[in-house]
Amino acid sequence: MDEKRNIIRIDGYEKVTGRAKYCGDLYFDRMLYGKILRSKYAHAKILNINYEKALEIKGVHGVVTSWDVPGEKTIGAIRFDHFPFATDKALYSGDGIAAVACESEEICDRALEAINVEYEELPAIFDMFEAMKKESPIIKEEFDSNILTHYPLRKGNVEQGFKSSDLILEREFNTQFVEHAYIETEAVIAVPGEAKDCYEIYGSIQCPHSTRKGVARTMGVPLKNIRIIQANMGGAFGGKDDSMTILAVRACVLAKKTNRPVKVVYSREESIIDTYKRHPYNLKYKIGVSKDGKIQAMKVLMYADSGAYLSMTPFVTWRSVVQATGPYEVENVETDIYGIATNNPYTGAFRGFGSPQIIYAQESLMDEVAEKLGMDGVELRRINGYKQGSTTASCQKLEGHKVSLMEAMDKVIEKSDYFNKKEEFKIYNAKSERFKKGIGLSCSFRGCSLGAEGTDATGAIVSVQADGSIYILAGLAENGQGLKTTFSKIAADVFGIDVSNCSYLPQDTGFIADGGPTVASRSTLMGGSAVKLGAEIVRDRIKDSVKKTLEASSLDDIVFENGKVINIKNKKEIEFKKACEIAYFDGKNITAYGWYKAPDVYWDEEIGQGPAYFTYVYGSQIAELTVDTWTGKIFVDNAYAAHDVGNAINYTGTLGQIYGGVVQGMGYGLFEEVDVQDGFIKNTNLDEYFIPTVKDFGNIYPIVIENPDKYGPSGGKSLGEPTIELMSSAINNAVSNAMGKRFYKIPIDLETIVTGKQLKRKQKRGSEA
Amino acid sequence: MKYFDYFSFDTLGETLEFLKKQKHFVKIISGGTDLIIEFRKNSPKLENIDKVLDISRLRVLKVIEEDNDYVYIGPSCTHTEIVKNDIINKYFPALVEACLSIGCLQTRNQGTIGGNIVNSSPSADTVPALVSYNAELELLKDENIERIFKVKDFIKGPYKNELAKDEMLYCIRIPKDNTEDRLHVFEKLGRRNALSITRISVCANALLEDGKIKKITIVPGAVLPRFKNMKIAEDFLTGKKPQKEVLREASELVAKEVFDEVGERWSTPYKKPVLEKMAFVALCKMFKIEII
Repeated sequence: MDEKRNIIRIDGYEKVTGRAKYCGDLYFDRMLYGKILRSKYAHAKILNINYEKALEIKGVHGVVTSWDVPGEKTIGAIRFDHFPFATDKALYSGDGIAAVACESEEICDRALEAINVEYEELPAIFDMFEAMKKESPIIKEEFDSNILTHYPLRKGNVEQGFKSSDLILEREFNTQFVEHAYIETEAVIAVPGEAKDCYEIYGSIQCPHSTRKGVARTMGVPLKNIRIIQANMGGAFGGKDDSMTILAVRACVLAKKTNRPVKVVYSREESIIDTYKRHPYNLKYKIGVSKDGKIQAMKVLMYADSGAYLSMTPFVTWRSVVQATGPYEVENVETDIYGIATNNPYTGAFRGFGSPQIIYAQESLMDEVAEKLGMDGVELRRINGYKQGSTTASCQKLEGHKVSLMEAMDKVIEKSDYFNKKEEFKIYNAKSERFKKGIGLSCSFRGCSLGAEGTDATGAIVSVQADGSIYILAGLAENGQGLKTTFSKIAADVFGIDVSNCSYLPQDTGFIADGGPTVASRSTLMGGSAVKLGAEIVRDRIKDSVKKTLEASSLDDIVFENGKVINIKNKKEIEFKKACEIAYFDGKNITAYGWYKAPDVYWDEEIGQGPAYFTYVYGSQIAELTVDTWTGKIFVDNAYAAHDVGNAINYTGTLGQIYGGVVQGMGYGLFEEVDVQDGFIKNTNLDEYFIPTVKDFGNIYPIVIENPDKYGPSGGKSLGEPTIELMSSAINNAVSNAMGKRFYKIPIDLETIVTGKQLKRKQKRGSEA
Repeated sequence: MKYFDYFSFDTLGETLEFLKKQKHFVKIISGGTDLIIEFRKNSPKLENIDKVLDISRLRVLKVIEEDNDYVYIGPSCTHTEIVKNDIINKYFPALVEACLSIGCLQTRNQGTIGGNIVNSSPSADTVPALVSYNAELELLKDENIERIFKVKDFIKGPYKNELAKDEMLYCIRIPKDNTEDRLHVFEKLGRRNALSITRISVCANALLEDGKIKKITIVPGAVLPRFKNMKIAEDFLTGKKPQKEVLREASELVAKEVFDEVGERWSTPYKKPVLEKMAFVALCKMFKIEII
């Protein structure tokens, strides 16, 4: 590895030593604690809320309900359909009915018990197909039906495509509810400001500007009255977006009521019950191929369980439609996806965002098609996979960036010794009664950033100090992914200095412009570009100031390298520090705003056609595993992951993203499922919701591919989400390779391997007997 | 969260005195790895419980020692302390394996063997090992009044046991007969390799004579409401040479005996074949017969 790129995380010291304050660590004078009362039913009318008894308890300072929300009652990133406090109706078991502010969390518990809510239970729907029936009641009054969204995509003529196919395969896949399981649960402190109707909100908030919109709307005040200050984050994975807006609103209403700071920290159980999950999908794929392995047509029909609220369902399902047919050239495509309302926990953004589901299905399908054609899945992928200039399902020509799908596949195959292993395992499996070994591959393409979801622009401040040290602050937020380090590195590179000269300022909506949400693996690509532009503006101003000192005839002769500013013509040089000092005394503004707006994209919603994203990334992963056919236990001995990142600006961070994403993908494929029974979650803590531990997988081999992208800072683009979307299908294919039979539902748990299906359980802690 | 009053005394005498005075059941806590979780979620198991008695400071309950007949383990010994103890490693390696399989390092550093027994979960990991070694429990009422139970008799069902409200577990004692030549095994299956509640476990030990099984005990975990020896399989194996096919047949008997008792449940289509395989794997491992 290139040592110079092995940079130290700039917020590492405070996090490793425990000095970093997370929201739960923060205290304010006269601060109260808040807690939420949630619905007793998955669907119910709220007839009356009586909290007089709660107010009589010593130490209870306020109880609030929907009535106390001073502005609009709803929030929503796409449509305002989400009530932070249930108004008239509770739509799922996590809906907040009331909240209390008390002198301690213990008193909160007692206060919640003293609140009497009268409900009228309503018929609830937990099954998407039930919800779609004409006779089913409409769950959300503001919609015409329980079908909340529908995205079609039409290309060519599928019927003709199937006619010219030699093999047609139809398969149905199902995926599960999944929990983000970030290490830090949700936390917020709302502090009444000094000025009238102003509030400061501290919190574990992934998208501070999005949260500000929701709080301002519900508090009935202009955006400027709300300041969102992000505390250090213990992970988000997409899960601290609108869920945190909901919590911030609840805390803020309590703060208004009591006129005191109010802190609310969810327990793990509350975190799991209250906030959104990954969408479970039902996917029906029909594929037609010719004898020589060329895909002729694909028809895809998908249903996504949106739960009780819309949240990000439109954007999540839209990404699914764009990428549903995978990184393959298909002339004839017909794809439809529907987002369905139920009374289940609501679903929203989660690392991958509509891609893990489709890739699980489509990459499993590719292997099965290949098997039927008598070829290896790799061969089928090589025939149909995207190459330079290929056309996507939405008729976008892939150009202007390196289409590196084949490169990713070749590299991961080489590293894993895929073909030799297949032969080895055949021999091993023939001898072994108990253990079966298998190897499986999957690959993907992914649109970077928001694409045609909406406005895609962001900013950053680069502020050089007179001594050459630097402040950086960007509109996108550090959620644990390493953004501060990557952004600092980008700025440091512009000035030719070490990253340790940079400090990252606290994230505060009062100090930086709204640069959109920290989502869609867009930070390095978008925010990084803004940082770079800002740094370049300052660099050019410094150049102008030192031109005389360096006796440069042209600004182009001045370069910034190794902590020095050099005139390359006459070799005259000064320290970067000195150059900053000169610029400072020269009266130059050595602070600048960089602003980056993404290239235009377009989508025709009627037919699902258009250039959806301005650039793409490609990746391929391989799982090599052992199945204990006697117990059903699967162990991934080796995982290989090749990803084109454009440019690995923060190399250590790049590896970290790959390790984390691969393991999270293993959890998705093998262990994790939020067990929702009649709208209530049964496994509400991490003793029963199984994320993989360090003992549950073998080696991970990251392969970093770098084909610089013209739109990214120094060529860097997206990595966070591609890493999680591939492992479940690689595992599924490896299990098929090992056992000679296929599975169509994840997670592939112990029972699936032994009995062929998941078994429904009503389990209690301490005993599964 | 359920709230409770907390008591802790310097001596065993005061502790027993306190217990004697109580009208209702008091929860005795040492490591707290099970109990605190129950309190945190206000478990129905804690109905009518409002006092917690902490015995973790009583050093007398943390001792491991032996005489000619028994090894004595204080109930406040943590799993880690047992894992690191030479006497236990020498005589009861299956108990060491069982302790090592619990939770994660933090759980093992905090949780105690006494707690594991008194919590009486069907999936308690130390219990199959203790039952297989025919361990006994000394329950103390006064400093003089003592009741003795075999571990398998002490646990009456899921989370139910013989402990009276004025009584505490004082000592776990395991007979030392034939310890030198015994073969031992503990085999466990969880959904994960750490921090996972046991789905199925099998603990066994055996004594060979002239290549034949002289004595064998097999105790499965997490499949029965209470723990017991697999009598039918044990009798079947006694006097036989431990060959693969014999062990396979014995494993079928284990599964049959268990599921004849518990009947059909949601998990039976999985647990029945897997228990059989786990028993087979455990027995093969114990008799050093290779399977792949």
